[in-house]
Amino acid sequence: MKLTKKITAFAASLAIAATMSVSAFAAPANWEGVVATAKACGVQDHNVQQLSNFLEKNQDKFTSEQYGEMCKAIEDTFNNIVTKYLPEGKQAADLTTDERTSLMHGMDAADKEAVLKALVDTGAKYGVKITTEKRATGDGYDVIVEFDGEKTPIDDDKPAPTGENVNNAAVFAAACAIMLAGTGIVVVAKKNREN
Amino acid sequence: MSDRQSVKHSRSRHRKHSESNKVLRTVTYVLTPFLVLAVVCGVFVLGLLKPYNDFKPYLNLVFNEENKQTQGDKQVSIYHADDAPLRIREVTNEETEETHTMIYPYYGDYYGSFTCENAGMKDIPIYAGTRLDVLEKGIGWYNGSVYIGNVGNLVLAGHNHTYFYNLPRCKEGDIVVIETDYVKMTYIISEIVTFDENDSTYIDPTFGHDRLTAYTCWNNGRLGMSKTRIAILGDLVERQWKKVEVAK
Repeated sequence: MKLTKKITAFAASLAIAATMSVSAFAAPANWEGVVATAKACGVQDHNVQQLSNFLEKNQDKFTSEQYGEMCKAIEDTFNNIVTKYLPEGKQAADLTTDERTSLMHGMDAADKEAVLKALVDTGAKYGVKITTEKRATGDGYDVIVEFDGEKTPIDDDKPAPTGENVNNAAVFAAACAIMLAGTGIVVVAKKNREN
Repeated sequence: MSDRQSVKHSRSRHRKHSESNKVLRTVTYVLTPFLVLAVVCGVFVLGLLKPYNDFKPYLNLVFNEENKQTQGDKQVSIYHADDAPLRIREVTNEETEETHTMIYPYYGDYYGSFTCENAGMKDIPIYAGTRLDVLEKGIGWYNGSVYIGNVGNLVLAGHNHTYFYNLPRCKEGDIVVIETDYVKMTYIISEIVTFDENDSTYIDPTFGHDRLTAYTCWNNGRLGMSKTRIAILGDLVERQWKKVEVAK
């Protein structure tokens, strides 16, 4: 999960990674084209949305040639890996939301490492820093993309924890106090009667 | 044993018995009030806990100075520099050729407000992101969903003991208003659903279909952590872009 989040988070960071490179791709593109490419290459839906949010906000920072390069980079990175894991007879663009999630989570560790290394190395060339932080509570890691003075954590693809335990502790403590005090009263009363 | 010895023995036993009675009575008189006090306090806590929790979100809004300072002001953030500029963009709709303004939030910053008057929720602050530090300040906007105002599934999350305490009171047909500095979105609740914490069905993007998904932990009406979430699903009624004046 940690590596999957890094991989797909770096799909967004490739936008930054391409900033200073000389584009080898003649076909111009735009940020919507990059998003469409990511979706067509089987990237998880919520990561496609995060990529879209990132590029929409920063669209003025990249040229059309750089967008073309982004599309090619995503195709090269994901198609080489995704193809191996595609269900028989299915194209990456035709995957459902659940199939994309299963595919990403089902990649073996070696493939995830290879993709991650390529993306991290590419991003590092263009000032994109991707970090993982162990969560303060619970399991798992938070993935954070840093660019242009802004840190953006990649929110998880599962619902956030939105409950708390404080009131349960208060209820439990109160119930214990009542039980122990009630027991004490009964014991003392019994002793009194015996005497 | 002679009569005298027997009387002596009996008196000795009576003395000991009286002394232990005195000790026991002393303990009883001292201990019992404390035990009764413990029972009363326990019942007091249990009895007042729910009413306190009912008012807790309002107490937080009134007395939480941090929230007041961060609404609409420049914030000290761990996610961006103090002097980070506003991210503002004029966007033109290709179909209608109408132009509107988007203001993109930084992670952790105040983003907008949530109102559902029928459920007793008015101007609940929304912050960008759903990390725990953000959810402590208000409702969290999930950054794997669309920006407020864009077409798609807008996903909001909030704690069930604070800002989304009243979310389960929402009913189908209730009106929900999400408002930012640049847009006012009005939704009508079409469905109330519950789902497992590992089920991302309702928080996944809808790509082209407008929907509001607002969820919190659901513990069958009790507070606390849960493996279940409860969500209101809303259909868009109106999208109203605002004129944005930017200070130079």
